[in-house]
Amino acid sequence: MAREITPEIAARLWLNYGTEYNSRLFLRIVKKYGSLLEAKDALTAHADAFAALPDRVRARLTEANQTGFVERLIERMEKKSIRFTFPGDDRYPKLLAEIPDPPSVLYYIGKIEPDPELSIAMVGSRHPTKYGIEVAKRFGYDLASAGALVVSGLAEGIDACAARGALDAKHAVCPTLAVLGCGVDVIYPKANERLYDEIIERGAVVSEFLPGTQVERFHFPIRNRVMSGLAHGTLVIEAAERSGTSITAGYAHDQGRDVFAVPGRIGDEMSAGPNGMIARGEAKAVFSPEEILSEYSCLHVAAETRPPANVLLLSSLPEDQRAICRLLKSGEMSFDDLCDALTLPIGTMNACLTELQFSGILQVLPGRRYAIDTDKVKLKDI
Amino acid sequence: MLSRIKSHGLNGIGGFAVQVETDIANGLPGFEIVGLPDAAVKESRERVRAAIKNAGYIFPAARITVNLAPADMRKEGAVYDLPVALSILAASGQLGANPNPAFVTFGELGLDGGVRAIAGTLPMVIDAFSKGETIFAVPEGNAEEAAYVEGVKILPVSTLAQLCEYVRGDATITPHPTEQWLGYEQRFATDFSEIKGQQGAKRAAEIAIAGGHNILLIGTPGAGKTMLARAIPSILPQLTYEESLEITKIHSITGATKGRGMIRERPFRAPHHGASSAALVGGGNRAMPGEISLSHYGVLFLDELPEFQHNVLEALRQPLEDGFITVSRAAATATYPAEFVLVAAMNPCPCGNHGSKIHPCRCAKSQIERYRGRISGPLLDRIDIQIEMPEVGFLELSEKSAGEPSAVIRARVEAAREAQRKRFAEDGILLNAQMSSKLIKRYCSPDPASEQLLARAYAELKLSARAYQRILKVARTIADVEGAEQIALAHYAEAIQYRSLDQSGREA
Repeated sequence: MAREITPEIAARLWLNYGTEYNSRLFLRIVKKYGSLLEAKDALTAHADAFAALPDRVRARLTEANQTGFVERLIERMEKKSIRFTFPGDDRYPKLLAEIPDPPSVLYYIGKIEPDPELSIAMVGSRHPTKYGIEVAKRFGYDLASAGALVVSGLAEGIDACAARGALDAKHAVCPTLAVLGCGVDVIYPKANERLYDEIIERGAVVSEFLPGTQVERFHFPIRNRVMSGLAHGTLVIEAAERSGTSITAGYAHDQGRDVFAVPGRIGDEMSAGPNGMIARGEAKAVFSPEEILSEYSCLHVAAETRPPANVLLLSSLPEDQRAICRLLKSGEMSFDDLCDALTLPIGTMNACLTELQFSGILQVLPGRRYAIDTDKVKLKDI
Repeated sequence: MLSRIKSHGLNGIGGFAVQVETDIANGLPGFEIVGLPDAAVKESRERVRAAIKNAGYIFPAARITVNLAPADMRKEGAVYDLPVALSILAASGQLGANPNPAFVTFGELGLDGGVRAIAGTLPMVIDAFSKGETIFAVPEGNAEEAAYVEGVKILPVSTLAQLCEYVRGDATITPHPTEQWLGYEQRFATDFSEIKGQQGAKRAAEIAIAGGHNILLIGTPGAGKTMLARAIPSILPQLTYEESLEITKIHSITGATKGRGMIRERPFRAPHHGASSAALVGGGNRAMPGEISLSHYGVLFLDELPEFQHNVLEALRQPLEDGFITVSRAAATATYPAEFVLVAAMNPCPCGNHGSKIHPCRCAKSQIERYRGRISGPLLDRIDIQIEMPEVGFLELSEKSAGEPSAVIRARVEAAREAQRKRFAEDGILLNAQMSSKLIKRYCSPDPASEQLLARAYAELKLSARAYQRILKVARTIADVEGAEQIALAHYAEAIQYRSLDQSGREA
């Protein structure tokens, strides 16, 4: 589905190569000269107009003006199955075109749904707690199951969990979109390589950074405006008080989009972000995915329900294991706390924990803490 | 006149007899020491000259040649001051008619004629005794350690003059009474009852010591890793006389035992992570023992394991396997024993807070992986037990119950080791940790239910074949600690808990 390269598109790629992620500069130039083609003519013909541009932009524009440069660029992208779209193109996300400084070219791998019925950006900490992980997966799954597009940033933590949850919705057509802070062909962080592949398969990774661009710290705030811009609403799950998450939520506000937040436990550092936003009235508190869906009258009956966790009767467990499960029902505990709460010999305690772990009832968390694996089992105390 | 004084030299913890011969001839006054002396021995000329004068004797104005025989062994240090001085006095006829006394002597001289303590007295006395010598004139400061050797007569010497009078027969020296082995003492180690909470880690330590397994403690700063490590010597079986003697021999070489007598506690060595590989395994141009030999029969504690230089850690591998180390240098080669329990500690991640509820961790997953990756697989393979220590809040600390005292745990450890000694009577090993895969097959065969559990753990934790074998070994030790003949499902299940590094890092 190679796109025909009109002189106008060539001019756009040329100017985009020069201005890079600075879409405001791109817009200013186009506005000044009326159209892309005129801008190109003016900048290549008149030395004074050209001289007004920053050094780096000038150097890059000159480089891109060599014969065949844009063609080679496109060829290289095609080899990596990278596609691109731009404001005015029918594949350009409609919501994104509405923000004041939309990316002048959006590169992507995979398939984009330009006008999803509902699109929610999920943002949060790179170091979530177990609670945050569970919530992100559940919201990702339920929203995608209901047909919504889940937008995330492919970072570690909440981003990855949200995307993972959305991908778990097996019947969703286009469950998720990841917005990168680097070129779409650069996988960062490396740990998310598998996730990246799955997202490309079922959705898309998008970026306004030129293919091959490596990660820089300052890319992320720029990227965040695209995340909120792609979504009807931005959902915050677990974030520290001042973090990238609050930047994204700020963009959502500026773009006139909604901000939701899932309340966290008070006292946890990772709860400070969402709880603070709710307290200041910057975000609407949501307690379930359905609340978001009903907000947009998007009351699809979920195409499928999450595979039900196995119901496990506590009475079916041996006595010692039952005692451990009872304690853990109200939340995770460290090995030491368990020892203090129960008077089991340490050896027996160890043995019980191993058996519970490999029966799929318990999961081990860092710091030698244990929790019921609520993804897999639901405990019934009979 | 020619004189011969007996002395002794050291090579590693072994030694060789040295004859100090002096010839005084007519000619231009001079003083030469031959027989492969090192710089410290050559310097002794000045000390000897001054000491003889200040002890009230005459330094002969003649051509003096001192030979340290055998001439092909390198002689080191200031230990020959005393025999050289004695030999010169004997050769010049100032010690009467008997210039070849029956004792072996060594010691450093002060310019005033006083005798100073030296390093390596005990191994020298033991070695010379084994070669048939029974009377030793040693510096007073070394007399105590030397007197632990049964069957020798130790003459404590405080000045050159005193020894000269003894040789002439003008005075006697009261031999140092043979020291009684006072038995094991626990002086420095923390007692287990002082550690609050951390019951899981305490149990892991007990199992580690019972089966001779090396152990890695993983925990946030303040979890009590160092405290636990310091307590571990107190649950090792009590030292025997022979072990005590061997430990003292090694420590004597470094001079650590001067004026202290025997070492009666299991050593606990905690080198800083900046240590060089020579400091750890031994080296220097005199091939001195390193930390691993100084922790022989005790505990070597490596805190902040990933911070140690890579090559330093790699150097540990071979001695961990063999129980001894051969240090080879251009000038010397020495073999030292190195049977120690390795106790290593590390933070769970670079910032240290991974898994903490109080201080959230800020490390990226890749950083954590890199940090843990600094410990090479082969080294990790030699550490059977890895245990994560949960953090203990300050307030909780005061509420935690104290545990059992070390003596109670030690009794269990000794019983478990006895069971192993009986089992391995014909296999030539003493502890479960030393089992080869053949022996593992013989002594650890899981029943079907256990096999099923192990298979699940093997698949879910993605264990290596080696890790699997280590689980079997540790399970054997747990059964021994519990006094069970057969390894039960619970024992295997508990052993799986001691694979912390395989357990963590498997989220989302």
